Amino acid sequence: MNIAEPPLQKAGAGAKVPTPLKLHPSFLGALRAAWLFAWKTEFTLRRVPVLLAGLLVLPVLVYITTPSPWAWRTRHLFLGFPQWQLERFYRQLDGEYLRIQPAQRSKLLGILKDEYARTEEELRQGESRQASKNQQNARIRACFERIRRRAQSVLNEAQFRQFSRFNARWLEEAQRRADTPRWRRSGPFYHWLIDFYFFVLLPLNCVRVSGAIIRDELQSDTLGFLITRPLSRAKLLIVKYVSQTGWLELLALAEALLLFASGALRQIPALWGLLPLFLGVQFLAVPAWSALGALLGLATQRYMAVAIVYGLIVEMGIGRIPTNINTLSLMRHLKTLLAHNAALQDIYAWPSVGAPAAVGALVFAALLFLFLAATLFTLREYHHTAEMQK
Amino acid sequence: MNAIIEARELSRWYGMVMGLNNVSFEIGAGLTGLVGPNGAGKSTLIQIITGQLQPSSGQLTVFNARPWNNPSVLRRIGYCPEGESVPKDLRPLDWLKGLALLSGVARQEAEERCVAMLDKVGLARMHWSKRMRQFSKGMRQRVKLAQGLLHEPELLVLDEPMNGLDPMGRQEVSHILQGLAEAGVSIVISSHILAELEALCQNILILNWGRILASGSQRDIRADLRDWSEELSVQCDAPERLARRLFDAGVLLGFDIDPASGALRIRVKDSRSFYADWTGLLLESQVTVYAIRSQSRSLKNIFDKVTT
Repeated sequence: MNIAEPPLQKAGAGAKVPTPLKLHPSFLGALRAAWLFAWKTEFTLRRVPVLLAGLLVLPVLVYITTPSPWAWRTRHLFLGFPQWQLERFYRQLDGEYLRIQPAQRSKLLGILKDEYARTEEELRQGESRQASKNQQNARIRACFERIRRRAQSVLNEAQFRQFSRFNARWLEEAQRRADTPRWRRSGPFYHWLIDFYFFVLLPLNCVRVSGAIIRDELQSDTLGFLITRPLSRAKLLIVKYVSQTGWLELLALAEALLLFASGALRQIPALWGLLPLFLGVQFLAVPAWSALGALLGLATQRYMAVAIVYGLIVEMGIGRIPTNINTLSLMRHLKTLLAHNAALQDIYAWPSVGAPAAVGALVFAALLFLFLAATLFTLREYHHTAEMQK
Repeated sequence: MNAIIEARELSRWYGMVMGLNNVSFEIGAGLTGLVGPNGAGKSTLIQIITGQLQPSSGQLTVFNARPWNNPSVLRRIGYCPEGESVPKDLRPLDWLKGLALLSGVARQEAEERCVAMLDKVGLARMHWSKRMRQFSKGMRQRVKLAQGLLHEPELLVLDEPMNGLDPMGRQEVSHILQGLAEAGVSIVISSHILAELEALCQNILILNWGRILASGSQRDIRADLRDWSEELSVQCDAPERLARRLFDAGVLLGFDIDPASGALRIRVKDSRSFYADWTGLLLESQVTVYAIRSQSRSLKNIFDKVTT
């Protein structure tokens, strides 16, 4: 065909060009649009029940797996079970031919039951009031001292010598139990709340949702509608990130409140003291994890797999090295902030020094990840066909 | 003519695959059709025009500026992509409102404008409260077209906008596009439905294998085709006599008579001299002619000519 590739042929002429409409693309308007897309998409009849069910799963699990005070009391006593303890004592006396009479047994059992019941009640009240360990130990010591004095009138001298030895051993065991008990019942609750929710579920969810802010549009072939708007790509990414992070903050707030409510129903001690700090730290954690998700989502289609590898290497690996290099870990900074709660400090013993630096590191990380993501989105092409061929 | 779109030695490849191969062209105001088979490079070209892709080499400017990540150019372009992808969980009005806000339409005006655009593209109001997952192909095409018009662009780029529309819908969309063109909006439209483009576009750009085979008005392209042979179908009372007379006059390349309709189909050597002699030849043959129809003036014919 001779006419192939004509040099600069001109097509059409003469139509008048209209005056352009005055548009005022603004960050706020774009943010409003992105927010409209985010919540209008989430609040559908199909999605709301799934969303609510998703929010309730973990609090229900927490409720089920955290023992109630009553259940704990029947299974775990600070001072032990008097009958079992006395049986061991009786066997010891039998071995030394210091046979004890049934009347003595009955009186001794009465003393132990009476004193144990009284002291257990005092200790439990102390637990709910966050009594110090010293006070608890003083109560336990007083209890066994009373038992010793009362037993003296029931036993003969030889028997009493043996009893004193046993009494000292029971005291030691009770004090050891009392040293850790404050979180023993609430242990499952804190493991769910901190180890699972805060350090696994929340980061993964933030990365999953934020990684999809562009990737989902690309896969559903709707990105073209957005990137052909009179808005720079960086600005588009930032408004989408901000609206998605706002949505995640709301969900995380709801989930945290449900978890705390679940803990409150199980009467977890010292819970409400933790709530403001927890919400504050969560408020910082969500944007940081989301920015990481946005960056990974723009860098690769398999951003969840990369996020898990990142978590294993940086957060679980580098973050645990006891040198300054662990400042690369976001979790390390979050732990520094959470360590300002006494209950968590009791359980995890994280270092609490450098809270302002930790806050600064989290904010800096969020801004850095977001800057890198915006740069990537500005420079790189995102093409539906190429995406679907991968 | 002020070119709205101007490409110089523009190439675009995807790895080893060539999307566009060193093309240069200008597109001015008015309605311009992009014609080409699948894989010709139409969508690649449209995506470069709308700033979704970057050229691998060469350059393309729209309103004298590169469109990639350029809000000042993008605010003057409306785009309606190929396919039927729309956010399925949104209602059309919500989606358009969001896009209008993204485009910089004031919040107070946004809803009013969205309503006007949905009315303009003829999406029945009874469907406005439905989520778009319930929409048919044709309804989605209308909403997509509406979003392209939201910010009153000076250049509207449409990739296969007639797909999924019924004949009535196509006609309505054609009317809308003609109205926009009359109002001064320049339109670049790609379509497989050549008959629609033929009626709609003054200018066409024919692509194949990433190269531009022809561009300009349909008449210019026909004039450029040196071995163009006109094909006519003539309904008359004595087709054999007319055929003999024309053959004797030496103006025909060939002819045959359709046994079903009895129409004489002729292929002429040189259409310009043929039309100059046609009246005289007809009078000499003394044949009564009922109808004459050109078989080769269609865009499909032009397309077939330049791509074979």
